[in-house]
Formats: sequence, structure tokens, C-alpha cells
Amino acid sequence: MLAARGAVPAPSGIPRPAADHAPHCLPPLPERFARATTSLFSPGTQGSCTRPSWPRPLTFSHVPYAANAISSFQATPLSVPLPSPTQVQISLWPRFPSAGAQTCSPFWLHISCLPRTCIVTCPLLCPPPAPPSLLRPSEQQGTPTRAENAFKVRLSIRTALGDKAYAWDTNEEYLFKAMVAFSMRKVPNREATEISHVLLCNVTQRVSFWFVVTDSSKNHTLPAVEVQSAIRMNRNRINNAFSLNDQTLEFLKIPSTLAPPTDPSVPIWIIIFGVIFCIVIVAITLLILSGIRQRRRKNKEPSEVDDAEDKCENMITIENGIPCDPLDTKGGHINDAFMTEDERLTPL
Amino acid sequence: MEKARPLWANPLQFVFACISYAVGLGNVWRFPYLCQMYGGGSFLVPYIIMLIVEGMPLLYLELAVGQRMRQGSIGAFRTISPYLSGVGVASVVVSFFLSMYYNVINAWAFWYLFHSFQDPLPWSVCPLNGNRTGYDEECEKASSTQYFWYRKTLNISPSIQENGSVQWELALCLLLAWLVVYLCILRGTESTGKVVYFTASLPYCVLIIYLVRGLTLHGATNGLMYMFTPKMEQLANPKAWINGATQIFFSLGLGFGSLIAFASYNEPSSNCQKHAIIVSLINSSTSIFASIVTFSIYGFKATFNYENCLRKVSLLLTNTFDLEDGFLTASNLEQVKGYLASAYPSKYSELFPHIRNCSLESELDTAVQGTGLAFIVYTEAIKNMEVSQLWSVLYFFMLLMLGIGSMLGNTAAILTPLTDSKIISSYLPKEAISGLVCLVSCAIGMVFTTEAGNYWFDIFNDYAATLSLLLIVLVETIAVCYVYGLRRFESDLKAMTGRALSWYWKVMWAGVSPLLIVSLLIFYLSDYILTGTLKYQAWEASQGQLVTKDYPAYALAAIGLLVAASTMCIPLVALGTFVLHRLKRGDAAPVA
Repeated sequence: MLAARGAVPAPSGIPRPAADHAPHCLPPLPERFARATTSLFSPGTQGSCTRPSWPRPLTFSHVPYAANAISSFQATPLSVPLPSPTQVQISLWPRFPSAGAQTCSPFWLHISCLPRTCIVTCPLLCPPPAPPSLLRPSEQQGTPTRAENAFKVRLSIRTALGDKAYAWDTNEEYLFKAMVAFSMRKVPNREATEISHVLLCNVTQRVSFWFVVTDSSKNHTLPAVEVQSAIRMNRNRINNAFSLNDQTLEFLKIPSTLAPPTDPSVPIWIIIFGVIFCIVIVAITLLILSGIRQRRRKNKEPSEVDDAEDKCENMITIENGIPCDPLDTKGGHINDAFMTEDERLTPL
Repeated sequence: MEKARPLWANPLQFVFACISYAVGLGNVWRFPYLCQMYGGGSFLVPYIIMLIVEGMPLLYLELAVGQRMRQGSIGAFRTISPYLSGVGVASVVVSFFLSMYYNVINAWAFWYLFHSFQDPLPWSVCPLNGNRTGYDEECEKASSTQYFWYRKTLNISPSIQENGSVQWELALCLLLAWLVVYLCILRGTESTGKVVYFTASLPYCVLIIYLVRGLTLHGATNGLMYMFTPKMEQLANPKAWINGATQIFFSLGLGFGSLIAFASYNEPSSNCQKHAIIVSLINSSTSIFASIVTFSIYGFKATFNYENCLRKVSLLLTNTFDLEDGFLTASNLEQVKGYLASAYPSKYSELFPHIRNCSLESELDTAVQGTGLAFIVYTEAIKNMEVSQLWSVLYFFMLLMLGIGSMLGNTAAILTPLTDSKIISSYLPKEAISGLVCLVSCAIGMVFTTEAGNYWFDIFNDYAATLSLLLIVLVETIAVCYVYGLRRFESDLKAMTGRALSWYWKVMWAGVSPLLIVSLLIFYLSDYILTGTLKYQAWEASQGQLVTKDYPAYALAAIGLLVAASTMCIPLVALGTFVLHRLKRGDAAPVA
């Protein structure tokens, strides 16, 4: 059927889910709803949250809301008029243009066995799940203003930790809620924030989810500004709790403060420059001084040679059997000891 | 009694001095660019042919002239013919221009060297903007290495008209560079001869270390294959041959008078033919060796950027479509992209402008030469290596050695005629003359440390030496072959060295090389005339990239003055000598 419609088959590397109709899960219900709705669930469906391992984009684009269901947060789930399950097609998967088919093709799932409550409660907490970059104002009309107080969180655990990556499960979510509650407790007026006040929703495979913090009456959500400043203050603690950093644990809409570079009082390069400069100056000075000394010595030598010649003229010394006298008469210009070769040899 | 001319302590010092002078920055940053532009491995064909036909004969000629005349360039050509001493003067003028701007490169190398002792390297991270929520805007648009070069080092102004002030940090580095050069030339050949042992050999040590490191880098083979794949059709491109000829010509440093100066300190009997062949072969093989290193670094950088690009695209897709973290890899990216495009056409089309096509080819295609290669591309590759401080220190130390080695030759070309001249050397000792030359060059060189200094540097680099040198070497060759007489020169050489001159050299000197130089001259002149107005690349801070602008009128006048200052020396001095001789003859006639 897919081929007939001309749709592109899924890339081969993507694992396919088991072709069963087990109720695939939504994010776990907030605790208080879970209590109220145990009767609705058959024991088998609750808790059997297997997470398929194929990528699933987050689109709740087809959930029809009943306007009055949204207005009162306190309304019990059962009082909300719900369309029958067959009409509710909550596409957790990209919808292929196949009308009414119940086949579990790998990329979409026709969920007809969802716990009804979750259909209502999750969308009430969170804005229509669309990537924030594509979120348009018009889509927000049907949503409560609480959506503005919700933040999307995105984790890249595998990128950060590689082989040591842990799986994102309910325990991790509990820890996250605890960290957010901890951050809120540091805010002056909000010391009474409990873990149960933090609501998570729309957890995807990515891993990404939305969260919102409600106040003690659970009626209203805390303003975004407070939550933002609380998270910013404790960002480091939150990061460390998950062994992640600012880039791998992202709070969209909460910019992180970048660490300023450490500036030493004296720039390092000037120190090195100073050292080399001094060495070069010292070397130049030494060379110039030694050059001057050499020149002075050279200037003294010719005068010393002249003194020696004078001495020879005054005293008659005998050196090698040749008295200096004959040498003197020539005034030291011609040295008889060295005769030219031509004069000694008889010409042929 | 006349002072004996200082000599090299041994022939090895002379060879090392020539190698240290000839092997300079051009081998590292110009040859790889030419190789890339003109067909990779096939560029070696015109290069080697030009080496044999043009490089070796002209180098031998200069060394022989210096060794025979035993004087600097001015004295040597005055001996050949008094009317031609203008050639020597032109050489000195060109060397003076060169030394003024060349030492600025050493100043930059010092600056980067001093900044390499930090962790992290300052050009690897962008500085933060005012409110610390992001990075500096200029740095975001360009890259951190470009930002460090254009903003932190040069602090470049948007155009050549805006002069700005002298950058004191760079001025200090220039002062240090001149002090180091002065230290090396202080005692003439005595000190130069010892320094060239280091400046000639240390770059090779660093190049070998870099070769080993470069070849073991991830992605190095991509760059090497890209470079050495010969594109034979480029052999038919005349530009490849012309560029091969000019590269050989300028790489050997002919016409500056440095080779004549070095050879003049030789023993008359030394075998300059052997030295010429050794020096030119070592110079060319260093070029090829350096380009292997450069291309392995290119390959590493391109692969790194390509993988980064892929990572960014994967992240964007993962975030937009909320796919599982780590699902997208390089191998399945295209498949998944195609799938997503058909499954979510609207969303995908919104995303499409942001998904750039990552291509290894386009990363490798970025051919860069000159200061851009040395200070931007290389630093970008170095910052991604492990222990990047060590590699950075080694690299800039090598650049310094290459630069100082060439500076020694340049200053020798200026100082040898000055110290040979009896008038000047009787008043001032050698150290004072060297000091004065360094001081004047340093003072004028401060122009290149202003904010518009890099634009003036480009003017000097492109125009001060190119045309003038071709003319100088042409006149030199004609002077030796036809004015002095090739036969007379041949017998001089035979008496001096005891070896006969091979017919090959005679043919080259008298015929082939002058013709080659004339054709190069014609090419350059026609290129200048055809291009019309000269343009330059200016850095635009707001866009974070280079833009092309026209030179203003006074810059064009400065270019004309540069070229004229050296080329006009030849006819002017000839004319002056002619006039002086006429005057002397006029004076002598009444007496006789």
C-alpha cells in the first residue's frame, strides 16, 4: 500500500517495531492522575511502556481539543466528553496518507487503545507539541497561557557520553524533576516547591520533553521568568547531576551564561617578549663592546711594532748569527734573509 | 695597507648562507598554491624545466659575477662598465624596499610565537560579546582564526584610506625583529656565517617533524591525493608555464644583489658551478617537500571542517525532527535526508536553506597563498591538533628562521656595497653602518604596523620587486655576456677556478635566459595594462569577509613611484656617468 501511494519506504537501516498492537506509551502520567485513573486502566496496559527504538517525531497535530476540557484544570478526567477512540488518531508517528488503515506500518501507529485520561491531561499541561522553531502564534490559540510557562529541554546523552551513555527512563525523569524542584526552592518565595509540582510531558526519543512547574495549589503554573532565573542560577548543578554540559543539556529559551576567558593581569606574551628582548639587547651590547675592544687593540699594535724597530736600531743584537746592524741600515724595509729565488740560483 | 676582504670561514658557510637566503617563505606559502592552481602534480613539469633552463644558469651567473669581481653589486657592475653601475644601484634600492616590508612578516611570526604559549590558543576561541551571552559578532561571521589575524593582530581598517594609528604591540614586535637581524649582521660575515648554520638547518628539522605529524593526521591523504593528482590539461595553459618561470625566478632571489654579495666573500678558487647547482636543487626540493607538508595539513583541515559540517547538519535534523540522539551518522545521512524530504515536505523545505551541502571537494578547493595561508589556514589546522601549543611554537619558529635567513641576504645586499665604498667606510665602522640601515628601515617599517598597514604591505609585496627584478636581471645578463664579453668572462672564470665553462651555460646565458626574461617582462606589462585599474582586497568587519576595492589615486602613485625608483636607476646612473665623463673630458682637454 505504501508503494502504491508513492510514499518513500523507510530507509533500510531503521529498525522496525514489532508488529503488534501493544499499547505503546505516552509519557508516564503525572502521579496524581495515575492514582485517579487506575480503574480505567486494565492492569496489562499500564506500565507496559516499551519504547520503540525508531525515531519518532513529536507531533500531536491531530488531537482535537474540546474547548471546555481545557478551561478547567481541575475537571476530573471522566467528565470530559471525549470522542470515541476510533475517531481519535493520535499520531505519534508521521502519518502516511492511508485512510483508516489499522496496519502497523513501521512509521505510524494508529493508537486506539490509549488511556483516555492522558489524551486530555498531557495536552493541557503542554503546548501543542511542535518544534518551537515552527511554532506559530496561531497554533497557540487553543492552548492555555500556561504553555508560555513551559520550557522545552533537549538532552544529547549519547553525544556527551558515547559508550557510557545511560538510558533515559523514569528514574532519570524523577531526578530531573528533583533538580528543577531544587532550583525552584532556592528562589525566595518558592521554598515549598515539591517534586510533584514539576510536570514533564512529551518525552521523545531524542531525548526531549517539555516541563512546567505548578504552584502548590496545582492551579497555576509558575511564571516563566522565575523558572528561568532559577534554572540559570543552578545550571551547573543540574548539568553535573546528569554528567552533561551546557551544550548537551539544553534548555531552549534559557540562554546560558558563557564562561569568560581567564585574563591574567599581565598578558603572557609580554613576559616572553620582555625576556627575548633583554637577551637580544645584552647580546648586541656584548658584540659591540668586543668589536670596539678589538679595534682598539688593532690600533695599538702598529705603534708597538714601531717601538720594536726603534729598539733594534739602538742596540746591536745578534740573532741567529746575523747582527741586526746590516738589517738596520736598510731601515727594516728589506730583509736580507729572504732573497728572491732568481738571485740565488745561477741562471741557465 | 689595505684591509683584506672578509671571507667565509669555510665553503659550507657560503652554501648555507645561499640556502638560507633562497629557501624562504615563498617556498612554504606560494609554491603549494601554484601547485594547486595549475594542475597538482603536473605543475612540476614546467617548474623543473624552468629550473634547468632559467634558474640554474642565472644563479650561476650571479655567483660567478660576485666571486670574480669580489665586490658588492654596485662595485661589480662598475667594474664591468661604469655606465652600468646603475644596475647595482637598482639592486640596492630594491633590496632596501624588500627589507623594509619583509621584516614585518618576522614581526607577525614573533607575535604569533609569543601567543602560542597560552592554553587555549587565543585564535581557537572567539571572545565573548558585551553581555556574555554569545560570541563577538565579527568572530561569528568570520572564523576565530580570521578574527585573530584581522582584528587582534592587524587591527585592520576597512580601507587603505583610513590610516588609523600605529599598533604598539606590533611595533614592539617589529623593533624586536630588527634587533635580531642587527644582532646577526653586526659583525659581517663573521657573525652571519655562524647564524646561517641555524637558519638553514632548523627549518628542515621542523619540516621533517611536521611531515611525520602531518602524514599521520586524520584526512591527510585526502589532501595529498587532491594535490598530486596530475591534471595534464593544465600543461597547455600558458599561465602554468609563466608562473613556473616567475616562481623559480623569485624563489631563488635573483637580482637583489644578495647572491653577488655572498659570493664576493668567497675564495676566488671555490667551485661556484657546483654551489649553484646544489643551491637551486635544494631550493626546489624544499618547495616540493614543503608542499607535501602543506597539503597533508590542508587535507586534515578540510576533513575536519567537512565532518564538522556533517555533524551540524545531523544535529539540525535531529533537533527538528526529534530523531534519536546518535542515530544520524555520516553513512545514513543522505538516505535519511531523502526520506525526511518526502515524508515531511513542508517542514523539510523550511529547513532546507540551513542544510548546506557539505562537500569535501569544496573544502579542499579553497586555494590560499601568502599571509592568509601561513597565518589563517595553518593556525586553523594547528588548533585542532593535540598539544596544539607545541605545534604552534614549532611552526612559527620555523617561519621565523626562514624569514630571518632571507633577511640576512637582503641586508647583505644593502650593506656590502656600502661597506665596499671607501667614502662611507672611512667615516663609519661596519657596526654603525649596519645600525643605521636597520634603524632607517625600522622607522619606515612602522608604516606597516598602522591599521591600514597590511594594505601597504600588499602593495610592496606585489609591486616593489616584481617588474624591477626582471629588468635588473635582464640587464645583468646582457651586461656580462655582451658588454663585458662572454669570452672574456669565460677566460676569467677559468683562471679563477681552474675549470672550463660548459657550452650549456654559454648557450643559456647568451640566448635562452634573456629571451625568457623578455617574454616574462612582456607578459607582466601586458597583464598590468589589460587589468586596467588595480584592485585590492579589504577586510569588511561587518560581513566578516574580504571585499574588492579600487586603489585610490595616491596609492597608485605610490605604486608607480616604487617601480620607477628602482628601474629608473639604470638609465639615470648611466646618463649621470656619461655626463660626468663628458665634463671630465671637457676639463682635461684644455690641460692637455
